[in-house]
Amino acid sequence: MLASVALAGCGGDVASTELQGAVVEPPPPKPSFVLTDTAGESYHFVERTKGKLTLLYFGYLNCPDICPVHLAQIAEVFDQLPAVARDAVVVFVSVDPDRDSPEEIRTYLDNFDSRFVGLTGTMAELESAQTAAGIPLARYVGEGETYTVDHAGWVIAYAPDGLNHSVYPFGTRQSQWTNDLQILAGMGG
Amino acid sequence: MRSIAALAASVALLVGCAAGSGPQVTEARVGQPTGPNAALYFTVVGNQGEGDRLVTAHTDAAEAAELHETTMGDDGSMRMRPVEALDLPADGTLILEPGGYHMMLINAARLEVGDTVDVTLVWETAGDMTIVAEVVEPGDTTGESP
Repeated sequence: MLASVALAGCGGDVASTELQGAVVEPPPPKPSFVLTDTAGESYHFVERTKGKLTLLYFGYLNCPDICPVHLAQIAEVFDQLPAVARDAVVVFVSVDPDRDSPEEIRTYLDNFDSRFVGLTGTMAELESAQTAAGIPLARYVGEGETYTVDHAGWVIAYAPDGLNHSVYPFGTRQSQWTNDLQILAGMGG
Repeated sequence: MRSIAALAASVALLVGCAAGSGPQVTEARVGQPTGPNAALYFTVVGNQGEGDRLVTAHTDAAEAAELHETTMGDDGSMRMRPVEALDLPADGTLILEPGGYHMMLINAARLEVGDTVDVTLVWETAGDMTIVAEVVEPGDTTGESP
């Protein structure tokens, strides 16, 4: 059973000139937040991604089901479309700061694409970032080391114009990613 | 990205139980672990007009195996929860796939794409059944064509 969020279009092989993700209207601006990257440096999201196609996703490393599929799909498009990837930024925010160290986040992202940016922060900083991004706050369920994290299941896409034109719930097909990232990359500021 | 046809072809040889009795398992696959845990997916077809119940599993490739379900909350959050058992309807199908049910392999061993993993599924009626799952790229677990 895949996510039931409806996506426009059927994701066929024919390239479309329209976005096939879930279109956001009117498109909100990028959220302003500062977190810490995997090198331990402050990362000001708006400043560091200015003018670039930006994909923002909140997840956690113990998630074996949803998170790897999203990241692998985006990495696949980056492989196929190097010109798009060159001016794009993928930002993965771990919402599990108690378990996910910066080093572990780096190793995790390198499984997909070493260009992907990994961020973490204090719980308060992460909640602030999630609120700014307009997603539900992560919830921590269960006890001991095997607790799970309820988290927003969609990737938020910002075109180079700095606006969030579309989001990508779980169940987005590879062809839809390929189609949309090319369109979004052309929506300059 | 491999097509479903390629995936089906690769796993067709890996069906881990004898034909003709008990549940039939196909498309057994494990996403290459990218973190501490991995997810095992497969499809089970019941036969002989009787249902069964998948209660647990064992594998040397992980510290533990748990049945989990991912659902979407009203606010769009993805929620992963352990489930006690999974029912295989009589003459029906039980599908474990991303975004639905999966067998979580907790603290999985280091696995490379193309490796195979032996997993013993424990059924309430059929008993133990060993299947062989292929390790696939993290994005190839959906079994969908692109």
